[in-house]
Amino acid sequence: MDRLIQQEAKEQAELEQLFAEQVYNEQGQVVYFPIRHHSPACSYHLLQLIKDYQPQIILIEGPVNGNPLIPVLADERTEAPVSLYYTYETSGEKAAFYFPLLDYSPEYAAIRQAAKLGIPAQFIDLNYRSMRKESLSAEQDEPSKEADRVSYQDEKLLTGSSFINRLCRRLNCRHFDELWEKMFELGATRQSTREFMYSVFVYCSLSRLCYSQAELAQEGTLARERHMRQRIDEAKKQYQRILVITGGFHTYGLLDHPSGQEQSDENFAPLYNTEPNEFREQIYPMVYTFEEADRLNGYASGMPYVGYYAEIWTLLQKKNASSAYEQTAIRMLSRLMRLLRKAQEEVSTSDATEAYGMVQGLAVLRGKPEGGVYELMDSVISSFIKGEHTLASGQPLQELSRMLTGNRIGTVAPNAFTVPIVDDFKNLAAVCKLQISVTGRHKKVLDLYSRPLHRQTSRLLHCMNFLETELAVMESGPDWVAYRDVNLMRETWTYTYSSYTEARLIENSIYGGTIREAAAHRAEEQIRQLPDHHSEEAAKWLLRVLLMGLEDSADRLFEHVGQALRQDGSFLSLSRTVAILERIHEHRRLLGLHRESNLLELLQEAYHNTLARITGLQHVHQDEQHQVIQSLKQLYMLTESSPAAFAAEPLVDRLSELMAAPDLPPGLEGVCMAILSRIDGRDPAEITQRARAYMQGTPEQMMHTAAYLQGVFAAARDVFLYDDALIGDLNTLLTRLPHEDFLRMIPELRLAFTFFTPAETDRIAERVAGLFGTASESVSSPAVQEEVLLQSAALDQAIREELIRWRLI
Amino acid sequence: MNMDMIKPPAEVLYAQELQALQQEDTGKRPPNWLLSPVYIRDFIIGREQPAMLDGEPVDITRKFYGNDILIERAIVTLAGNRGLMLVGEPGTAKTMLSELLSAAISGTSTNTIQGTAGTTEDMIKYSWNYAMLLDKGPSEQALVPSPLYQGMKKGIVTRFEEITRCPSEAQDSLISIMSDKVMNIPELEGGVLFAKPGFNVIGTANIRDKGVNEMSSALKRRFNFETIRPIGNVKMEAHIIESQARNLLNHSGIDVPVDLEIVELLATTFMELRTGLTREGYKIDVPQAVMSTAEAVSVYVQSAMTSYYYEDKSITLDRLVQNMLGTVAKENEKDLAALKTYFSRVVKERAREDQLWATYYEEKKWID
Repeated sequence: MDRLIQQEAKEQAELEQLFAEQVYNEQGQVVYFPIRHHSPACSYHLLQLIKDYQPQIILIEGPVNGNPLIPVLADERTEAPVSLYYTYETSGEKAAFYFPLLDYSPEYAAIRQAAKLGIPAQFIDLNYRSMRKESLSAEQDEPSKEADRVSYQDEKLLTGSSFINRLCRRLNCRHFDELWEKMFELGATRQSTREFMYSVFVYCSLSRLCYSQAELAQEGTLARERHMRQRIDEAKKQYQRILVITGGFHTYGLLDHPSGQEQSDENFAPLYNTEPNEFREQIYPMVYTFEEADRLNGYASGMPYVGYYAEIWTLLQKKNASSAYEQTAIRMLSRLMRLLRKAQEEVSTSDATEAYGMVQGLAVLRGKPEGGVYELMDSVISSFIKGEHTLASGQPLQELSRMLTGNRIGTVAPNAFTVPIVDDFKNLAAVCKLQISVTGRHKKVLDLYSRPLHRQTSRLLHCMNFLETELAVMESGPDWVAYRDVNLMRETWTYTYSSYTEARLIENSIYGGTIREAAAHRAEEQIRQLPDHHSEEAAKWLLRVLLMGLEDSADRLFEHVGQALRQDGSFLSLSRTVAILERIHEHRRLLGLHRESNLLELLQEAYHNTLARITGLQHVHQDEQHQVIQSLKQLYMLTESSPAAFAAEPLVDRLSELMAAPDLPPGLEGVCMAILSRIDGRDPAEITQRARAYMQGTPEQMMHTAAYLQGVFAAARDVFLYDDALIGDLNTLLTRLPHEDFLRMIPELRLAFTFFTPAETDRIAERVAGLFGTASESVSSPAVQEEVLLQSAALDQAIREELIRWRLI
Repeated sequence: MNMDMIKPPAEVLYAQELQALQQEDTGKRPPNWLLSPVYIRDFIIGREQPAMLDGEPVDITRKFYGNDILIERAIVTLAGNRGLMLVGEPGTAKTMLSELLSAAISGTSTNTIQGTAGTTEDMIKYSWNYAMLLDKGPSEQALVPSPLYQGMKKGIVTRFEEITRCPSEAQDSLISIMSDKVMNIPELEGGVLFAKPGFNVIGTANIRDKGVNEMSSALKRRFNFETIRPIGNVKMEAHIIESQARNLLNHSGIDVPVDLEIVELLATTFMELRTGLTREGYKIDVPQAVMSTAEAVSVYVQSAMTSYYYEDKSITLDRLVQNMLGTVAKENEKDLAALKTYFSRVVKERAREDQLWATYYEEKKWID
């Protein structure tokens, strides 16, 4: 025990010495400011330190290749939250990182202050690719699922150390964030900068000492620190007063240690710059949102509740900085009350008063100088939630959480690094009046056919969806591809703008400099990957491209569809292609086509190619028969709709050939017969004749009657309406049919009769009634009246009882 | 230990701890409180460092398992203007928490209104000793004070158990007292009772139980609510069952050790049936009966007692399953089917790998 205490005392003495000699030595060449990312208190003291120390250069833990972007970040027109977005691609892997910066991020505060003072600021950390490489080796078995949302500012070493965990337990804090707020954020203004830096340094260093050198090496920490040391050494040659700002966890690793143990990392850390050069990397300044910056929303970086701390930061910069937390609690509680009242919740001022008292009471109980965000949340739980805390009663807390997160989106000053496609989107969004300056779900209802601007907006949103930017979702509106709801006149979209959208756009920038270009190229790339003979898929793409308003690509696509048509050997696929092309042709005005180009020719070609595939349909699989019947009917309708463009003769020829085929399935025979009787003038009596052939054939043939009738009714159900002979025949069949067979046939027969509308069914009923010489009502009435049935049953029962009584049964 | 009481109140049970903490406590206290808020928290959730009483260390044990943050909020609420209402499913230790709080704050947890469907306004405020009333007319001597009256007069916490079981009109008699901290006694001349500082009310209420009355929103506004949730961690639940069962068995003079393995098995069964989710992540049917930790404790104690008296052994699994039936089949016969399915699906599966679960599975024969 004594040894342990001695050890602790020794560690403390060592840290104290390090701090006085190296970390904060105003006379020294370098001052190290230990920070936590996104901490208002750190920023507050950092600005104080810059004022006191007056550095000639500020070195910041940030990617070296982000250095050219520093002037953009420092530009007054840039408004936080913003982020550096870095992507790299090698032959084997692809990844992207964010480096978010908020107003109160110490890094960002330093960059701005440096610009104000006219001194240089530089990033000194490894670029992202190397970092990733280093840490990947440690976690190869679990590749990150959200590799594209990785944050540069990973704190897991700091927050997960056993030292911090013990401390949380001891100080009754639920987690590191609360601990941090309690120890460093609250009451920070009452400390001197030296005191503040010292305590951050000690906390972070003790936390670091929980890890072995090997663990640190594996996480890539040591390699990064060596890189930072090199950069600091370079700066030392040139400047006399250097301020180094890094995460508190790294400060200890950057110092010179008398024992020299920290430098012994040469054995670890394979050096990053020995990598092959075959990679592409890009870094851009990008807008960011509070929602994404808030770690609670699933992004690992810095402190949660960014909206809350942004408010704290605003107040910290004012004169009465010491009451920042108190004022924020009051503001937020009154705002919450307003919001809840608006949402018709029952709240009173006394709730807010009670909550404010609670904030202070809890702060005292928890030994905090002021009530922070956790006290605020607890007070809302206690004072605003009435009854059991459930999903239904938890609205106050939900509203508060939204408020604590905030909904701000940053802006990046115009600069040479922006990606053209992002600019293009922003311009288009401005034209289309899309809300992209605050987060949250927005709704847009588009009057497609009457307002050209709405048409343009719709096309933009379709493009954005196609580019997988997750910007918008179409809630309702005509779906031309699935051919649903095409009667609707309006499209309703909901959309949410975030840096994720911007990141996706940047990724799409390899396809083109504008949204249209990128969408067109991507579509063409995907179409090229389609197998040659998939004419249906190609036609669908044509439709999609038209919805996106990319008529130029559509022109190229016509050719592609034409080729696919020639290669496609499937009757069904071809006929579906015809259907889609016909849809486009028929609704070309609704789709907003300006040029008709060779759409009609393409459709005609598709029509003829489909006809050519009719031969051989007798072998079609039973499951596909229904679709074939529908397709044949559709071809027939096409000839009817415009006989000039779609000649009926070839269809007649093909169908006649098909009719001549032996073993033609009865359903197909029915539909062919029906169509031919229409366009070829074949005697309708033949339909009846063929039906009779089935009905009066062998029992097996008899069972096919229903399938045949289905075919007939699909294309010419009126036959049944005027031809008494067919009804008569069917009647004979039904009376003759053994009961078992009747039961087998009934489902198919019912299906056949579903083609008729209720009015038609009534007419058929009349004819059947005529056949029996009764009124049509008696046809539809049940065979036995319910009353009679009940009476008979009762009688039956009575007789049975009587018989039993007489012991006759 | 005091053997004259079946269940001694918290202030008797933990008298030593309370005394030690009082000696040590120098923090700021709300008026009339025996301990400062920090010490009350420590008393309820325990702390590592023992307190000293007359030179002897006294361990400050954890008495309430669950959400520590909730305890802090509850304490601060009681120091403020509003009452504290503990709500939650049956058997989540609401009553215990309210006892601990009032014992630590006022030194007594017995100043309690026990709410029932028959509770009237008289019982909540005050009634009369009619013999004296007839003899001497309305006077303070003839007045029979209720616990609420006592609480106001002495400046101590009044507990109101099962407030939602009382008829709504009886509940509402609290409304003006809670906001004005004054009780009018029109029968007495100048009859106004002003509450002394330190007075507050801790209510407990089951919200989802059968046969409860809705609280008016006026009354709700005068309370801060804390929802106590069932424990979501098998190890912790097992720990509670173990410690409470040991206490109860000791109290009944039954000197058998508590079987930790069986406790964990029981805790697992209860938790899985309560949440409808097995530890393997399968969904199972949830019985209507309350599968609370308190019920688990009583199943354990019952089983241990049966085994002790009839077989002269410590607990056996067949007794456990037999007693479990009584708990599960309280509300609805169909609940037995849920237990049966649990055995044939979950227990059977585990029986393949674990000897204890295998023995447990053999006892399925009692469920029919």
